[in-house]
Amino acid sequence: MKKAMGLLLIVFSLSLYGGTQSSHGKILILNSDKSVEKYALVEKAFRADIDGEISTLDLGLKFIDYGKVAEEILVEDPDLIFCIGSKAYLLAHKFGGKRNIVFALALNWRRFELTDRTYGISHELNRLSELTMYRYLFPGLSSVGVVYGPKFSEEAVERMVEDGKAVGVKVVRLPITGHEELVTALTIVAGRTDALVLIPDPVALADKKSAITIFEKLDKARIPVFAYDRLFFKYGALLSISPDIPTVGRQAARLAKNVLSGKKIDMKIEYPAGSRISLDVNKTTEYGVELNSMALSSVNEIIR
Amino acid sequence: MKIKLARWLSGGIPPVLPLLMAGTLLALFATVALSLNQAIYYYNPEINVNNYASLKVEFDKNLRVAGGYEFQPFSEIDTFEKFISEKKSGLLLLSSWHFTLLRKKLAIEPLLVGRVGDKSTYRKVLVGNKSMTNLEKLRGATIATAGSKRFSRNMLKAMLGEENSDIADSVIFLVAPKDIDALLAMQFGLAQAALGSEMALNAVGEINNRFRDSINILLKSDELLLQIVAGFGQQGLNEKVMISIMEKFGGSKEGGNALQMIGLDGFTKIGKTEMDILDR
Repeated sequence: MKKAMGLLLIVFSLSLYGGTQSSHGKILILNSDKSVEKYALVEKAFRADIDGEISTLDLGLKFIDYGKVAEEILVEDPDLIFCIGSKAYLLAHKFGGKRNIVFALALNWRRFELTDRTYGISHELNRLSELTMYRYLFPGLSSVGVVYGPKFSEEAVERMVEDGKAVGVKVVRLPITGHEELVTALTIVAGRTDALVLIPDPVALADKKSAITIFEKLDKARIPVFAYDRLFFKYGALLSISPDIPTVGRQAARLAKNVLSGKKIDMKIEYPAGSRISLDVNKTTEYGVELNSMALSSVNEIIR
Repeated sequence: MKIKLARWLSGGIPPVLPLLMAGTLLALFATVALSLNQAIYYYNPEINVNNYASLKVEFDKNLRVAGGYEFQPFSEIDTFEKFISEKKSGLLLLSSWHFTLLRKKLAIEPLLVGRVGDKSTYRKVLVGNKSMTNLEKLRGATIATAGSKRFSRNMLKAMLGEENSDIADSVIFLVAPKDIDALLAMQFGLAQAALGSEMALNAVGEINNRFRDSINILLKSDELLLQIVAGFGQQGLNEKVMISIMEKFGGSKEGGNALQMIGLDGFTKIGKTEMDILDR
């Protein structure tokens, strides 16, 4: 009871503090878990691109004592909190008072409660830039399939269809409601399109079984799968395009500088300005996919 | 073998096989000794793609087969320059812009120049969104680029000319990994302008019609040389062998793939035309 009262008092004082801060540029980095490589990398890139007083609280080091996090925010008294990962954002949102927040690498940021002081770098790439990259790597590509749950991804897929028109790629929409419809949808992908674009959709990728079904079925049909994370190479992806982590760190630093200097922010949530590409070149040969060899200079990782 | 050797020592028939084997081994040791730690050192400030691990694998595959040499990429200019300044001799693969800066500090000699198709030159372009109707509007703007900030500012100054070079000091650079990323970042509003190669601009323009319709080409650079193989210090047998290997690199499928990872089709010897461009 005493502990809860103490925590309430801290949160109350944080709200007061946050509301009356002058902007002197002090930054607190809340890192969800520094031992995760990409979280450490984004912090390194952020720090390299910004000056001033910066401290870090690594939330991966300990069991989360909410009172302690709130206390540390109060002690550090930052003008801006840079949150790496969803856990960090949720805590900063809860205990940060009216302080400015910049987030990065938060996979489910669209489900966050955002305020007028929330800024960030989204975790997904702009679909038009992804589609441009597909066509750049594979000039013969003319259609792709997308399997998704309409409840979660309808809007994103609709935008993708429109973006596809700008790059001459027909996006074939395949809405499903469960695993039973997945196999039918994959048969259509195999019969009517040149590739499947995998999106982080909880219906299409409900579990490991769904992932295995997708890759096995399309491998038999020699249809490549373009993934959004390199972890899908273990299942048989031909390509993965994901945000370039150091670029995300640099963007977050630029955004933080602009917020702290009071500059007008036109775009509160930015797309990542760079991509990281991994490509299985053996699979391109195996599937008979035409590869633009000059585009190899854009590939970060060749998998053989 | 002992019996044969004893017979040879006592005036019998010389043991041809063991001698051949010993000779081969000696030749092998000599090659290994000559080529031990021989590498070509690579750094390019014009792109920011972290592909060093794959680059090393692809280049080493070809260089090792050809003579036990290796490829050593660097991601930071200071580390690269410090490393080579501590060496007495070696070979470098670097951008022509970096070459012209480095030759002021180090006695380096250009040997080969990269080519794409039959061209050894390229141009940088500065494109703006539709609101960028004149150069004055660049003042204080954000420019997306794949180059390092130092390279980009320097290149922009050269493109703007002396009368407008102060604009280059006022801009903010958003560093993306590759030219295509920089151009697309401008398209979706992260920057007002982008600096990239004409080749990348043409590639994106051909694919993406929304991009093509949303840009103004503001500036084009002079013709610049593609990447250069340069030597420094006393060039020994190893360096000569390695230059010859690099010259033939684009000839094989595997070598060609490795070169395409740095945006080239092959190398040719530096001629007078290329020297004139370098000395300009």
